[in-house]
Amino acid sequence: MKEKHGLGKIIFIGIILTIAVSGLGLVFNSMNPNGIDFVSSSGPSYAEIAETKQGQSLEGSPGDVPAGEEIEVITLLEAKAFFERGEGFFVDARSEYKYYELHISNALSLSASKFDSRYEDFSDVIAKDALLIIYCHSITCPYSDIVARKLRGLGYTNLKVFSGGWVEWLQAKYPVQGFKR
Amino acid sequence: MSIGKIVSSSVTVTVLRVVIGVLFILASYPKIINPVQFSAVVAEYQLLPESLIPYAAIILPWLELMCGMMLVLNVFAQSNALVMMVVLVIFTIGITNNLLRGIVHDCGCFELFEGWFGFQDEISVSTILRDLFLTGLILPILLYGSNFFFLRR
Repeated sequence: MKEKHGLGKIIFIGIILTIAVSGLGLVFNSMNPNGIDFVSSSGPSYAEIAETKQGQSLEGSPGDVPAGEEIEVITLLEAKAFFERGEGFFVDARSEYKYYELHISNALSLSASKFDSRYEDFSDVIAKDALLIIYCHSITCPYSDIVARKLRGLGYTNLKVFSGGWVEWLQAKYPVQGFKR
Repeated sequence: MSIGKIVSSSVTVTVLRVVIGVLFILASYPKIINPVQFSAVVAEYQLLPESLIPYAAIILPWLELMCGMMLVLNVFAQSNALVMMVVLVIFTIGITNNLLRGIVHDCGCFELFEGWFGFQDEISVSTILRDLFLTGLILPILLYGSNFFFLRR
């Protein structure tokens, strides 16, 4: 006859398994070259990240960028200069909902999570040599880097990542648009 | 033979364990390999504060993988079925919540099966129905499966 376990024991073992698997996942992530970098995602190291990220390139980062090729990272002032001169297109890598709420004026949406389904429409209207300034929420968010690497891998040559992103632009009170405006 | 007896039979539970287990193992693979991409999808659900999104993006695929493997191997099958049901219910609530607010985004569910019937890329009503269907398939494992480290006879 089959021995039955009570619901309490099933739940208890489920919780233990979840904790153990979570630990395993976090350990694997620390060894995964494509893993999430918690150091650069956490608040306290913001200044350190800003120092290393601003004015540097994304060379050597995992993703779709061929080895040795660089994607330039630009500051708020440089992004604003491009905006004022009307050069290039700002590309919003955040979720489409966030984009429709508010985004940098005249920016295009190319959400990192919907890249594959939106790329075809995007590539129909944006030439491969167009200047694209890609941004996401803030300097700690990875989505602008994801989109930039994918675009580079698909043949876009003139890419820049605005690392300060939406937060810096909004705090500077530069032009924005969206249904929350 | 009544439906109740068929659902509770060891053959049915074994088939469900293997099918659901393999399904979740395959679903976990792309997310484990590229958790950064998956974190973008988790962020779209807008269920978690930004600081918890990376942890969810790492832990959820590993839960899928390990629970899937343990289901196939019949190790703590009932507990693993419970964990999977909880994950599916959370996803279903998130999808329903976003659809009600008019937000459509990638599901982040079964990228390997993208384009197959019922496994489409973006969230929709059929995604909710599919998750509920999967939850229903897991229920017999929870109710009639075993919960040993290795099956004792």
